[in-house]
Order: sequence, then structure tokens, then C-alpha cells
Amino acid sequence: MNNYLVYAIKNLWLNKWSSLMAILSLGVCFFIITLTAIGLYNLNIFTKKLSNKAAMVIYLKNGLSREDITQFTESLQKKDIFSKIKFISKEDALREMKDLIEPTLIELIGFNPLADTVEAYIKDEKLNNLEKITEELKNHKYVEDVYYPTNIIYVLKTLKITLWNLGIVILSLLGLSIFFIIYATVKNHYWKKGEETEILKLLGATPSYIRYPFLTEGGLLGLAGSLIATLSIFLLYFILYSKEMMYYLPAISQLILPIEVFYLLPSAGLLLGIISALIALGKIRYQ
Amino acid sequence: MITFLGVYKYYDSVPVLQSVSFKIEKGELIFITGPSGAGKTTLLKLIFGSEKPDEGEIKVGDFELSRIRQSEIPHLRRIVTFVFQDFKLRHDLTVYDNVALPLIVMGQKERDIKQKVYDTLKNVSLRHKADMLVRTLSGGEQQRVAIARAVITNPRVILADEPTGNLDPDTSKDVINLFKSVNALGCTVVIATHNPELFKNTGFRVLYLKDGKIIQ
Repeated sequence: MNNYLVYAIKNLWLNKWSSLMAILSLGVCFFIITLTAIGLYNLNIFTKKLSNKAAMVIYLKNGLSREDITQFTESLQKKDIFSKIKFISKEDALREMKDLIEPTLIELIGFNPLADTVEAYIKDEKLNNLEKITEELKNHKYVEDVYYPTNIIYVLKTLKITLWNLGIVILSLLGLSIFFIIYATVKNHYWKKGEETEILKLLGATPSYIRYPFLTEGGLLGLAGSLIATLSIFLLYFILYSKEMMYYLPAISQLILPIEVFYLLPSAGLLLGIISALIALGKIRYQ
Repeated sequence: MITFLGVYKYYDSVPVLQSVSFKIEKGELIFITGPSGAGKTTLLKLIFGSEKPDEGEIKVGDFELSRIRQSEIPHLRRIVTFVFQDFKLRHDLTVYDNVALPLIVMGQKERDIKQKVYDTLKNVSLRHKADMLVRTLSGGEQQRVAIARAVITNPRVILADEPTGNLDPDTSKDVINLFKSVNALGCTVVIATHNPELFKNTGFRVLYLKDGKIIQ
């Protein structure tokens, strides 16, 4: 292994300019990929938080007994659709209303116009079935009406889907670019060593013996590129979280940088480098 | 050691070898001769696993070459080595490094390699040139480096394709003597040449090829 590593480093040094260009390009690609992935990760958290805050309000029919209401809320809990269910009696609602509106205005009406309600928070993964859930609830014998901030959720959902699709396109394109950069660099170096490799084949070198230095080379290219990106992300993180930046853009503090990036990115670079190099070398044929 | 049985080889439907059958015993030194294009090199390539026969069977030791898999070829080439007319040496490496290459490929330890390389270089009278770059050597010296590289792994068979093709008569004689001394140690040697002076009155068996057929 040590020999292969030395051989691979020597080979990279022999082709230093093409290797340097490849590493820098890989660094840029890995950097953009990581930023996109972090962006999508934060978008996921953000939309989850928002949708969790938006509750479905179920207006119950008048004259339901305590037992009916308990039975109804229990039936909702059993459905495994809602993350949280909260019953608000019309008396509690009126009390809350009195805090918001002039009490004398309410007394003018002379009766409690509000209905018993159930606030139900839909689980994020069930948001796709929103219309079906609403329709089912509306048809329930105890339910008068159902309200849900559909427009906000719809916009949020569309935005999330659009950004995810865009993110996946970026990730795929840059992932492919990384593959082709390593593929082309290793293939080029392999061709340059064509005569040397042919001699090795004549001397009884096994396919693994021929492949290992180039696989190591691919791995080193991927690792170097991803380390540049990791370092850049680390620097960016420090700049964004600096006091000056926080002063002008306090929302930055909401951004989450998963610590896993610092070991996942170099590992992914190494693995992608080895796989790309393996594909670039293809089958070793003896003649 | 080597058996050919009704072997045919075609290049673009043109027959290069036709119904070739012969046997080479273990420890034998044999010359294969004939005019240019007779099929001498093809015959050696078939023994080396560089080519596959289109028809017939070839056996080298335990290897059945008509059915050999790509993955078995490196193992075949550790018992069958080749001395090429154009030497196929690494010109960017020293004499020592070139001769050590087959042992490195086989994964031998550096300490063992050193001893073996110096012993082998001594046998081909190149010990004093071990640290010189191959490209600075004469044709005859390069051929001796190629022979040293071929014998260092103690192969069971050495194939040589026109090993004296680029050499003057005196150097050619030295090279043939080297092959004889390797053969004397029990190694089977197959030399393809179109130069009859090399085998005349030597007493070794000669296969004469013409138009892809064994004439005698």
C-alpha cells in the first residue's frame, strides 16, 4: 500500500499542472455541492418548523357531550396523522377573545358565538394527503367545518419541491462533473504510462497490481478536492458566524451547519475518486 | 512441457498457422526458423498467451492455453518469460531496476531482490553497469539486460523472438551462449530466428516453419 501511495504521489507530481487543475476544479465542485446540500438541509428544517406551526382548526357541532368530544379526539390520535391535538372549549376561546377584543363588545352580543374547536397539527410527512384528510374530517358527524391555511402550506410545499428539484439537478450535474474530472485525469495519466503498463503486463503483473497506483491516484484527487471544499466551508462558517456578520444579518444564526460535513465530505471525495478511477481504467486486458 | 495439437491461427481470415502439432520436452532448447511471415512470432505469442488459437489445443505446463482466462495470464507469465527483439526495457530506469522489476511485480522483499539481481547481473557480465541507465547501454548490453530480466524469476520456459536480430555476429554468439547456459540449468528455451548460423551444427532440435506449416 505504501508503495502504491508513493507511486501515485510521484505520478501526480509528474503531471503536476493537470493534477493541480483537476484538484482545484474538484474543490469548486465539492464546495458548491456541499453548499447546495446544506441549503436543502436547512430548507427542510425551515419548512418543517413552519408547517408544524400551522394547525388545522376543526370546528365541532354545538351540543356535543364531553364523552363525544373525548371519543372524537381519541379517534384523531389513533389516525397517526397528527403530531399534536389540542381541544379548546368555546368557553376557553371566549376567554382568550376577551383578552383581544373589548369585553363590552362581546357582552353586547349577549351569547357565546364561538364553537368548541380542536387544533390538530399535521405531521410533515402526511402533508401530501391534506385534501383527503380535510374532506374526511368534514364528513364526520361531530364536525361543523374544518379550516386549514392551505394557501400558505401550498406555497411552502411548491417552494420546497422546486428548490429540492433544483438542488438535485445541481447535485447530479456537479456529481457527474466530479466523476468526469477524475475519470479524464486518471485516464490521461494511465495512457501516458501506456508503455510502462504494457511492460508490466508482459512481466506477469496482475490487474490489481496495475490498477492500485491509479486507484490511489483517483482517491488522492478526490480527497484533495474535497479537503479544499471542507476547508472553504469551515472558513465560510467562521465568517458567517462572526460578530460583525451577526450584527448585519441576525437570521444567519438560524442556519445549521451539520458537523458531519467535516468527515462525510472527505470520505465521499475519497470514495468517488476511487470509483471514478476504477471506471476509467476499465478491464485490464493482456495481449 | 509445451504441446501443440492441430493448431490453427487466422488474422482477418488469412491463415498464419495451419495444423501445427509438436511437442517440446522439459529442459529442451529448440530453434524455430523459417522465412519472414512464416508464423514464428505468432507461434511464440501463442505460447506466451498473447494470442489464442482459433482451432486446436496448446498446453504449457498445467495451462490449457486454448481456454485460458485473462486472469490466469499473469500466472502463466511468471513461468513463461519472453525476450523480445526490441528488448521492451524501461529506458528511464537503471539496469538494476529493470532486472528487479519482475521480482517487484511478484511481491518479493527488497533484501531478497537485491541479492538475486546482483547475482543475475554477474551471470550476464553486467554487474558493473547495475546503476547505469538502460538507454546509455549498447544493443548487445541491452539484450543481456533483457535476458537477465527474463531469467531472474527462474522461469520454466524462456521464449526469445529474434534475440540477435539487432546484434553483430560476435555479440550474437555471446547471447546464444547465455541462452545455452540458462538451458543447462534446466530451463526450456525456445528461440525464434531466421538466422541459420545460430543453430548450425549445434545439435539442438530445429522446427522449420513455412507459410504457417511445419515443414520439418
